[in-house]
Amino acid sequence: MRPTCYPLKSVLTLLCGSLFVCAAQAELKPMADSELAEITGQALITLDGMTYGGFEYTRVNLGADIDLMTNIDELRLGNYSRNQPNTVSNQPADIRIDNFALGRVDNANSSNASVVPFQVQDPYLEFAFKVNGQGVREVAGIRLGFGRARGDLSGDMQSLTGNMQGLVIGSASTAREFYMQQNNLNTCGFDLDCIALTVAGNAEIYSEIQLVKNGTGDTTVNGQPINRATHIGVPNGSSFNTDNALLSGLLPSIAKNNGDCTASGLPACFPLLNYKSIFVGDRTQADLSIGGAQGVFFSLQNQNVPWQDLASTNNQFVATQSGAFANFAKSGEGANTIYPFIVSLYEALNGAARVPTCIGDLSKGC
Amino acid sequence: MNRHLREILFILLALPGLSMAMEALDDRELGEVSGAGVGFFLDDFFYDQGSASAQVSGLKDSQGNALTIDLERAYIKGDGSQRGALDTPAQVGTPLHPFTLKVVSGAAAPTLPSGTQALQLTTPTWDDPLNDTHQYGLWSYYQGCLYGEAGCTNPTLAQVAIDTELGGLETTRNALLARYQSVGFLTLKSGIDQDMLLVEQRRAQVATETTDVQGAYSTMETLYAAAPANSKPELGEKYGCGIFCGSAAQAYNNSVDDYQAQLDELAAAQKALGEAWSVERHGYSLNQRATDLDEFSSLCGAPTAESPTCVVGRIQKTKDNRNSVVLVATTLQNGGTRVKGLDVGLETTFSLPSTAYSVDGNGNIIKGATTTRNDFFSINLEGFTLNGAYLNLWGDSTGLQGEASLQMYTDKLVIGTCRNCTDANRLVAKNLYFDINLGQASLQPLNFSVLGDGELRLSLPSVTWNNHQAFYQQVPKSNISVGNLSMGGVDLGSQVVRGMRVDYLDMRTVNLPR
Repeated sequence: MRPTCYPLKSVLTLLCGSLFVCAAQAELKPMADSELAEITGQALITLDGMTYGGFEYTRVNLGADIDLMTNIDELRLGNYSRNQPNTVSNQPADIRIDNFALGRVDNANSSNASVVPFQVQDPYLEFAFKVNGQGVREVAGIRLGFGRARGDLSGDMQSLTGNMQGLVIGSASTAREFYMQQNNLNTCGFDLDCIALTVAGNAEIYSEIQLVKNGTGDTTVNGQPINRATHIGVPNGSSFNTDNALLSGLLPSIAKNNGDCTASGLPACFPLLNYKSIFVGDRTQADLSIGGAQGVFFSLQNQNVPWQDLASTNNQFVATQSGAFANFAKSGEGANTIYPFIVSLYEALNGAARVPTCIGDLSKGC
Repeated sequence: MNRHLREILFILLALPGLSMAMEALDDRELGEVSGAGVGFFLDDFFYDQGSASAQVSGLKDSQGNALTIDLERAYIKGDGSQRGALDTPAQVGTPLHPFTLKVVSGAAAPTLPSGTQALQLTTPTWDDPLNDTHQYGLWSYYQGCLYGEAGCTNPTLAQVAIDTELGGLETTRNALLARYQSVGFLTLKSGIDQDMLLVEQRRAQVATETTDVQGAYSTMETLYAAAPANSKPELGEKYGCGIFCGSAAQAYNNSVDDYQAQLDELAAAQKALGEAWSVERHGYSLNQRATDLDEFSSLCGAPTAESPTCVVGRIQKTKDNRNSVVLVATTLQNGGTRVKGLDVGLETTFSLPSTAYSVDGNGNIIKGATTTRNDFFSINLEGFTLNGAYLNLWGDSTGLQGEASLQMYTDKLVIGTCRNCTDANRLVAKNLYFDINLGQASLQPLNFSVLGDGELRLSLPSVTWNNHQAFYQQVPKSNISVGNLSMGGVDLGSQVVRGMRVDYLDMRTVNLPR
């Protein structure tokens, strides 16, 4: 005889069903046979396999829509000693976030307080395997990811390793105002950077920002991606851009980070700790299937494992390094690009305040 | 099927009468028994699947292909069984520390709403530091290595680690105290409260503008769909037909202008909000002051005096944790030992459709053929305990309610994908501790339900203004920690999710693929 058992969902369905009978107070109605026959109850969890670059992958998908508000005192992944040239801080862990929170509270300190949850769709757990030089198949990595995610993510980000691709967008006049404020200027005079920003007027300027090494804006050291970053900004060699035809040729030359973490005299690298809250996904698109960021995951691996980029439409993989890794990468191309977070230039220059994540006096640590 | 199952199951009635090792009850004593529940434990048993076969079916891949998992081997044995190789007898619970199943109310389940009875299942519970899962699990995280293994015979490593952490927190607190010493923390808070009024106004404006942008985008999308296909621009760009546009193209062009105008208004509102955060007092921006006060409150609790004390908050919590860590370390140094746990293992094989991706001659990654892959997958737990866990279930007008605390600790979790290999090829998590608390009967009952389409729903009601103080004091937090994780012999250190409270949850299962 071959004993056979059915997966989790059927069991839970049965369990919940039977427990309801015990409770006997809910308004329950029996289902007709025809209704029962329409319920397959077998697709809560699916398994997928794939291979790439010498790795084998097995992914366990959970079909679920989750609305969540949570506060976490501390999240620390990859907490071990590192002493490599591309380790760009003395932080103890690859990912270290204090007072981490998903979701926010509106009108937090009033009787109208209401929770605005973080939305998650279809979380999954994936393993990567590789046959080593001795022909033994080893576990090479594990990741927890989300089909889509949207909402406020808050925390004191002490260090991050991975992809954190955002977009800074704003008016050149905001940049000019900040520049003059920082340099105690009442007029531009002969300050070329100030003049250039004045010429830009109200033109919209933008730049992609990534995790960078403080002081230089480097994203790699000796060809290796940095880890334990404490700053985010315009990478070394990149610049602010604009779609304004008159300025598009000029701006990259005046607003480029030339390895000193400034662009057009403005700071181009910002402490992660300044970003108390970011919005994952498109905050102007409430529909999770449109505005949700794809490809968000956290992983741990013992080598440079390429994980499939579920946000990619052309079979891309995300290159990761040994240790812990967080992926908040952009998805899509051109006008259809969705960034995991978009901050206004004003926020980038001044820091993004934390949205309340507790009801009452405390905005965090509840 | 060849099963080796040998067990003695004791069922102890009348828990209130349980006070010593087992002795026969006389009629008078039996007469005093209330029969309010049962206690049970498993003594001197093991389970080994042996050569029997078993299968899990009903799973699918994302394309709907059926999958079957063959269970090659499964066992439950006592700690030290060498992953099931030895028939080491196991013991789960004792006469003095049994599992219990009973109906509870009142003082026996103080979190329950008044007048409510619940069905309660508890696992064996100890109070001593080595067998109390919370204390030992906490110590094991800071210890990092598996106590007793080579190089890990000093239990005070955990004490050093938590002292370092505590020192860092106190340094931060001291810096904040020094920064606002001349201002006073009540004055600091008062200034923040006044300045936050403007922030709240401007936040509301940003929310309004965001809604407007969403509305304008939606309108633009609708009109774009209805606009003529000839020379159609990208969404967000306008037709270049000027005054010669047809009505549909003109309407779409106007909606692009409206959308851009709304974006400008949103940008202006964001800027105004940023300016509100920059208002200075005492030499610091509102953003900085609010951040500092939050940080201090997180470390020491909300200040109640100009020169506040630090008797609650994260520092005090860490001090309390330190007491537990020191207690466990001292007990181990004095030769204390834990009640042995279980060894649990499972080895499976399954065939899985696997799609090959590769790089072509142009450097592009292409999707190739899907073939069947035969996988081996094993999970082993060593020294597994579940002491101090409980589940309370009851029903009310909204359905099945519950509260649960899972207290799981295991010396090692080993995941392998190779048959003839060592732990240097596997994933090994040492000192794994799950302290998962879901629901609190009075303030946040966990609700289970089955939706009309057969999907499952799990929900935790939100914290509210009316209950937030009690909620933050009484709804328990959860912790997950790993002392050390290694993969293929590469150490990746400790991992922790600490102090997690779910303030709101609504989870609905969905059939895949969507």
